Amino acid sequence: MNHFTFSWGSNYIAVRGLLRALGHELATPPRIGPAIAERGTELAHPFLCFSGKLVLGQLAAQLERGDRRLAFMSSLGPEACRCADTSDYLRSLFADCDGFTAHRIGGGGFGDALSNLRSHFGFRVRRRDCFRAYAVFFGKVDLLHKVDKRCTALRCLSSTPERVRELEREALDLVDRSAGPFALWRTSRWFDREAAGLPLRPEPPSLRIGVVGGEHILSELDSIMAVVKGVAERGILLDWRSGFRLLARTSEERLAPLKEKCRPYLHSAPSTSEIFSCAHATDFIDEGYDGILHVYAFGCMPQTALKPVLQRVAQDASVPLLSLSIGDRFAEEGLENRLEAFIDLLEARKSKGATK
Amino acid sequence: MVVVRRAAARVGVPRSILHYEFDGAIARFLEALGIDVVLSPPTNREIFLAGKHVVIDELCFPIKIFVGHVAYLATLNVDRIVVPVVVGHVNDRVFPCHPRCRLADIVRALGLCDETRLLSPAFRFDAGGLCAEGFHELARSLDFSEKESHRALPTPQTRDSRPVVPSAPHAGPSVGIVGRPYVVKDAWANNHLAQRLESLGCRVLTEDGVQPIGYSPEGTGLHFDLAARTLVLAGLWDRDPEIAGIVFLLPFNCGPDGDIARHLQRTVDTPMLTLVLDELQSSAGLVTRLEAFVDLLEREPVATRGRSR
Amino acid sequence: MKRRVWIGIDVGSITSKVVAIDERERMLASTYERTRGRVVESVKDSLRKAVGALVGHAVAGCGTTGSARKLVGALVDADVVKNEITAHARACLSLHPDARTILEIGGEDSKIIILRDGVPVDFAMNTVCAAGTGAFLDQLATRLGVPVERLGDLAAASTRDVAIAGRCTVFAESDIIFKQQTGHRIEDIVAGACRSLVRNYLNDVGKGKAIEPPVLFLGGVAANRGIEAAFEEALGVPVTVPEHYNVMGAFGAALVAKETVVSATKMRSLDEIRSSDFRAETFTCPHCPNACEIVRFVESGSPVATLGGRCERWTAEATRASVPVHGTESTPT
Repeated sequence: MNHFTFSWGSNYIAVRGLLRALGHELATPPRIGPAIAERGTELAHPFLCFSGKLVLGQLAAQLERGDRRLAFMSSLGPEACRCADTSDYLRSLFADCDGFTAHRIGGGGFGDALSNLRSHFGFRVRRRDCFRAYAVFFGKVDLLHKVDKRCTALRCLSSTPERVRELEREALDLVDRSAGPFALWRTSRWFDREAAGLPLRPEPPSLRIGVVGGEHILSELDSIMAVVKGVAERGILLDWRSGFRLLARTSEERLAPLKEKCRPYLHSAPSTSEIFSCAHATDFIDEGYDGILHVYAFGCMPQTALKPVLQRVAQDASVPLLSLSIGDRFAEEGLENRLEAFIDLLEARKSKGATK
Repeated sequence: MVVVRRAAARVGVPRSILHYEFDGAIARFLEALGIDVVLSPPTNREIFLAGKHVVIDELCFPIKIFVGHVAYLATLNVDRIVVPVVVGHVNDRVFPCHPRCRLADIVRALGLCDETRLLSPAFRFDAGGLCAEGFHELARSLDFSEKESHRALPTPQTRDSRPVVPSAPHAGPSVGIVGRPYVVKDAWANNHLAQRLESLGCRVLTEDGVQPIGYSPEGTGLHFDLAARTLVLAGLWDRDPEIAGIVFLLPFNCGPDGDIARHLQRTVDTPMLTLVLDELQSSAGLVTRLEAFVDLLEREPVATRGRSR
Repeated sequence: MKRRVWIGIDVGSITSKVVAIDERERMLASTYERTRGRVVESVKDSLRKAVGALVGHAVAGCGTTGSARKLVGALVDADVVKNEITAHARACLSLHPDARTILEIGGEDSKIIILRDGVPVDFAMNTVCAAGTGAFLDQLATRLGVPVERLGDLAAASTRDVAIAGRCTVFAESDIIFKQQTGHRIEDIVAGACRSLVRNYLNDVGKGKAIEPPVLFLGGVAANRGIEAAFEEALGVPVTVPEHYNVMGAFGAALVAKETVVSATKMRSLDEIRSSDFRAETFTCPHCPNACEIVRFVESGSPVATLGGRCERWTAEATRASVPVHGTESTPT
């Protein structure tokens, strides 16, 4: 059965992997770009976050071409914000679309996710099949993240950035075609070998910039983040450490040390997104990164609430911070200008030997 | 740790956000403990500007107002300032918006006053009000015992649970105002909406005349606390034949309220006026809209409701 | 016996309009002028042109509307002061009783009014953003170096779809410059800009409104055929521009006055109005941190009405108790 989804960056590949493992198929979502953003903005209230508008734009485009069965990933909990359980909301927005169904895949844990799959898809799903499907899903999420991070770093470190971009495309394609856990493992090994074999620049990166922020924007590959990541090819190392899993709450054990790191600045019930951003920013500062880049969708509530806190973190450590909100205008020029100015600032500081 | 001489403690409480959401429960609790409570004045332009100038522009209108109240209290001779936060509903499926959870951290980050002056108890809540743990945390930080804290716990304000039908016949239309309590009850924030409506001959209702409102509207899949409440109240009034019109207050840049705006427009049959609240809207524009709305209510007899629009 | 006429005055931020109607609600005279920031002079001038020329007529009632309705109401001693949404709806329904949607785009604001069975049931106003208003076209005309009145003809001669980006007039202007530089025809650019205005209007004021035919299009911008065409394209239904599209507000105010006034009119004579030294003065109230801006209307050295202020402090000054501002006179503004 054919499904469609909305996606941030390449995570539709993971959703497709899960559905294929259960004998279903998933259409590739349309590329994110100004047309999608425009369409989403028309449908949405102005105060909806920009990521949300991109979602609605993708949905509208696919509904228009006749797709009807939506399967989307989300988890419950404050980090998921409004996307936690929006089946009813989406249905009400697209009420005029005959036959439109929305299935949320995910839950508060595996048990929830399993019962969701069963109830939404209305077939007898064996526990074993579900387990395998989620194993494939998580395997792909992790591998996609690894590819993204490693390739971004390599665009800085390697002397052949065009080959890096090629490798990234090939890797994504291979991940998509890897049907099961073993194939995934083989793909992962292949990628590690290819990445290790790339020639490196003799000189170290001129700058190291730590990137934190909204998960939805960080996983954008083609459009917004392409501008940010393009910076890497100037010999600047970009690093981010997300790992926000879309399906289940991040475990308390995993979050506890991160919360501890944020303690001076974040006290009351921070969401996972805020914890990650703040803790990683602290890590980058401790590890001597030259600057922090905070990227988020305009209107993203957790990241907007976090922004003054991050500004304080950076101020206390005397590390420059650039907060970039990606919004309605979908304008790359403004983004590039601000990034360039930030990089100039960091280079000037570095050459003057600024210390904390 | 500095031990505060309790009897002498003056504590500032911002007249904003939680103060309005929970009927001033925190201020009442502190008074019951014997503390000298200094409530900031009702919002005015100066207070708002104090907040607007320090906090980032992207945050919503009510947060700017709140920060202004804290900035104002910081200039007074108070020993402590309470910046309470809500962290969640008891059942864990209804959430406050992130900025409201982050209030204390934002205030601290802005450096409006010495951090040691800030008290930031974290509260859970349910339909009955704020839960006790948060009060106990607040009392502990002021060096009160648990017993004293228990004695001072505020009882939920008895809400008038009369039905909305007016006891005396009223010439003008009855208009209900829905929205977050901290904009519905903050006259500066809503540009004296109730007073303006009354001067146009309307009878104005707010949630104060209604039985406790729940947090879970059916079938909407929405879990932001106050947005959900607004839907419930709007639904109640939509079904009430005595209510001629509804005004929905939508603070600028409020994501959750933006989510429900469309839903409300589609599902509420009663004539509804949506007012976006921020400091930039002109009073003249507001007056024009209110006059037109009242004209519309007066021309549209209630008996015709239910036709498709 | 003199024939009775009713006067409607609509004064907004950019233009002032005066209309005179007769017993059968036919329009006897109308004027449409740019205010150029001088409201009082403009109104005096318009009244002279519209009403002064009517011979053998007696004014039976007067209504004002528009953003300056209270000021003008105080100046002329109007019988009725009515908001512009109701005034426009009233005017449209009298000419097109079956209308279900009114689109109105003025110089600096825009409105939409939804009517069902001859009754307004919903409306929205935009007073914050200029992207869906006439200001956008003024800017476009200046940028392209053509008179704004020619824009419609230019758009009609477009042969190619050109998309103008940006949700804001400032960003749209950048894009227009870019399109000019890359060799697009001016006709295509103008047509694209018209579609952009319509898109912004529908996205902002029109958002979530049930737009159903028959659709009327009013306001100064309705003269622009390019906008009319863009609306028809976007909505997929025919759009009608009524004959008196740019003075409908004043027409509506006159109709409301006719309905409301039962005895003698309060309106002052033209001579009195012309010789009045009525003026408005503004000051900041120093009495509390709200620092409200107060507008005081003064005539012959005495205050006649005040606007503004969140408390009652200044309303006691009003001496012309007859200024009928529909109950809001003693209310914070």
